[in-house]
Amino acid sequence: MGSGKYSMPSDGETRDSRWIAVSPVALLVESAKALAHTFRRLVRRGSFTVQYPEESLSPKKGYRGEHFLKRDSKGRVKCVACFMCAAACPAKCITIEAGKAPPEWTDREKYPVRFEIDLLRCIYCGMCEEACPVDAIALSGTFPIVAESRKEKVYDRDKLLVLGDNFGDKISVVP
Amino acid sequence: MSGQAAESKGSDGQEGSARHGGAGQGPVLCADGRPGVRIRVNGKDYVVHKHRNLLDALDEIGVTIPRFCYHPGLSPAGNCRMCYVTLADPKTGRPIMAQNLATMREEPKLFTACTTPLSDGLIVETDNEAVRRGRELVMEFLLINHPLDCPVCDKAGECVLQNYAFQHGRDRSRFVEKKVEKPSKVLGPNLLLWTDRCIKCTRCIRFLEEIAGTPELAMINRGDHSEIDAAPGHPVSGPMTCNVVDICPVGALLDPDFLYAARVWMLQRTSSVCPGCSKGCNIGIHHLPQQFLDSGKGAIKRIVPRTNQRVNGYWMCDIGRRVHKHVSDEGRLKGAIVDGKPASVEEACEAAGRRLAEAARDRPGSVVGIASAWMTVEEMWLFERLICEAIGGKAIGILAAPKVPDIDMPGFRISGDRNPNRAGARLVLGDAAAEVDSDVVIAAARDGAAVSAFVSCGIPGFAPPADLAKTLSNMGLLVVLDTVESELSRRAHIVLPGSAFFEKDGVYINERGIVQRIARAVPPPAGAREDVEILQLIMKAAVGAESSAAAGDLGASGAGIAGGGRRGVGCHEGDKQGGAVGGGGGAEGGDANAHGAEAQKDSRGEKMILSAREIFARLAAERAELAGMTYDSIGESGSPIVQSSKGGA
Repeated sequence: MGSGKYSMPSDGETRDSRWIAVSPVALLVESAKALAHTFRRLVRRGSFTVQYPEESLSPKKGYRGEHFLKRDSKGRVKCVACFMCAAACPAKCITIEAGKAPPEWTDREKYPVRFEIDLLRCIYCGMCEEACPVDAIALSGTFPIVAESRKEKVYDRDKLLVLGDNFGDKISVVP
Repeated sequence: MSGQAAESKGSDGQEGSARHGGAGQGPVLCADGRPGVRIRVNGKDYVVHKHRNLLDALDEIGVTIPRFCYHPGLSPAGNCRMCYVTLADPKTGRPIMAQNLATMREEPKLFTACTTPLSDGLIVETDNEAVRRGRELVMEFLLINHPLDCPVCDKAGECVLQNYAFQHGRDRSRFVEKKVEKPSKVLGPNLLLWTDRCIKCTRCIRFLEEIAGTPELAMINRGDHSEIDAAPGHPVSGPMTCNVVDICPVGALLDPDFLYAARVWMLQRTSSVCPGCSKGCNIGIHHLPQQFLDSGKGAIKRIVPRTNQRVNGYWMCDIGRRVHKHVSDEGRLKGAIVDGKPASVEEACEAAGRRLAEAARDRPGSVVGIASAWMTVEEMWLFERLICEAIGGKAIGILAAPKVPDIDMPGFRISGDRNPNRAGARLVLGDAAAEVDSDVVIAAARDGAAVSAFVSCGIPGFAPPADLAKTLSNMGLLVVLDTVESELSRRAHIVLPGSAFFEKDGVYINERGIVQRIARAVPPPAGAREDVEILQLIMKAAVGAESSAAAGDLGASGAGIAGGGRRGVGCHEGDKQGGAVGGGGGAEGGDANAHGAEAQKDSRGEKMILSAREIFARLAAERAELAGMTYDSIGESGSPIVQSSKGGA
């Protein structure tokens, strides 16, 4: 192989560096902008501290919060227990136990008997979502993620499914 | 190397063409002096052994070419067309051409290396444009009807098709039509078939025909619709069935026992030896690493054969694949029992050692020891030391799983002696390696008035003959070392929880006198211990009971192991013969004392306990048959016992 079929689109980094090389003046312009911003803030009154928890924080786009599992068109867990998320997980926080699908699932062979995510171990990198071949797992924008015990932070399959039911489609996940 | 095992097609058709390699004065010899063949591969000249075909020869020189249907243990079929190479005329050096019927142009002709006989002067190219294109086309055809369900396929991660798709395939499919879908089938109690994953390599068919001798599978239908099937009403049920799962290059044939059990990349592999029979097949134990270990489910996920031409070739039987099951079941001994009450292993060993030694002191000759053909040689050696020297009793024989008829197949034999280490028992225990029955025990009881017995078992599903069980349970003291609850352990006064073959290190000697290592894949469950540790704890207790009649007359090695640390240096003053052995033990003890609390306070507690490796070193120093052997020299492929005296088998 090796015929360059996988060459990455070149944007971002290369374009920026070329631009700076062409016009060093831009650096001055940008620096001036930044300084202007700083001084504006300096003279403007009022605090920028959010009065959390009385005031709620809305996470920015791209924020990754707790996970949820999706359902397929027949309401069954979409996950096929392929372990790709567990394999991709750098924190090794996903525990899956695969099982033979019930006989009435004629189109499915394998499903997760157990699917647990230890959110205390999770680093919210989103690799599980990237790795999933059937788009069954995603990270929601839920904030804050709190619990009163360590045990609560280990989400099992059914809890993840309920989370998905509650806000799965409404939440904009990582763009 | 691989070609040596293939007996059937040795020399036919190869000798005839052996001369047109040019200058042919004198026979061509390989580096090891065996007759060879000159070939030129990708412009470099090699001399290879006289393999049965080109593919084996290329494997020998390290030029690996892809193949699906070829397996060194089976006859070549040449039906996957993946092992394409191009050849050149040995006389002119010009590539052999053929007309491409699509373009009507002359192109280098593609030959399948697995069906090309090896001849002198062969000129081969394995990586030119024509070959690469040929392979890419083969991959494209194979993937047309393959479902590409890698996420749910158990083979993913060790799938030949998956690997070759990366190495030789196109990056995307041009196939837009509908794939042929075929129903999955249950081919037998140990075999499932995902029909649409099959790439029709026919390895399974050839295996059952040539090795197992039960041609149960066949290819039915034609073209796109051809599929593997068994005759209706005749499930694939031979004892070698699961080998077809191993040799299946895709995930078409699967073992229901491993189905969805784990993804293969999660598994750790430990090289070991199957204890299922005296053949001693080399195995790989595939198990989950520590961090994935779940309570409840067994840690051992599967057992697969490891290639060893001297012992098992490429295969193993299904009995061996399931041999770990008996310990994974409930009924596993997970703690010691003393007089019906649970106790710690240390307490139980202490009690066993003390009470056995006292019994031997009170009535000399009243303690008998019965070993088992499932013990490793290290355990047997310790056992003999313990019974004969530390306690002062008599080792009267071994327990062994009952003999069954051998199973002979065209390419494999399963031994009827379902014990891994009878030869080891013969070597270590000598006269005491005969199987015991109640007569032996009663005879021992008559002349020595045996009232106490120390029995080691570890044999799966072993039930002693009724009269033997009765004789043993009438003993005043019965100490049993076993892995699972059994007839014997239920009758015992003291039960000691030992470990199974995958939980300990050790050495087995197979029926043909090949010394092979088993290795610990997973630790024994909490509460159980390695057998060598238990034996040494008992020995320590027995020696500690200073009133023991045998204590004064202890063998040097026994004292070195058991009492070395506690009693200090004085213990091995009166060495008899094995000075070096006892001295080794003493050095060990002194070392441990020096390190004391800071370093050696590990799981082994007082650190007077020797590992199986250290014990084997002592054993090898004693026995001429094992002279010079260490765990490292035995390695993964085993080494035959040194033939000095009698052969044994």
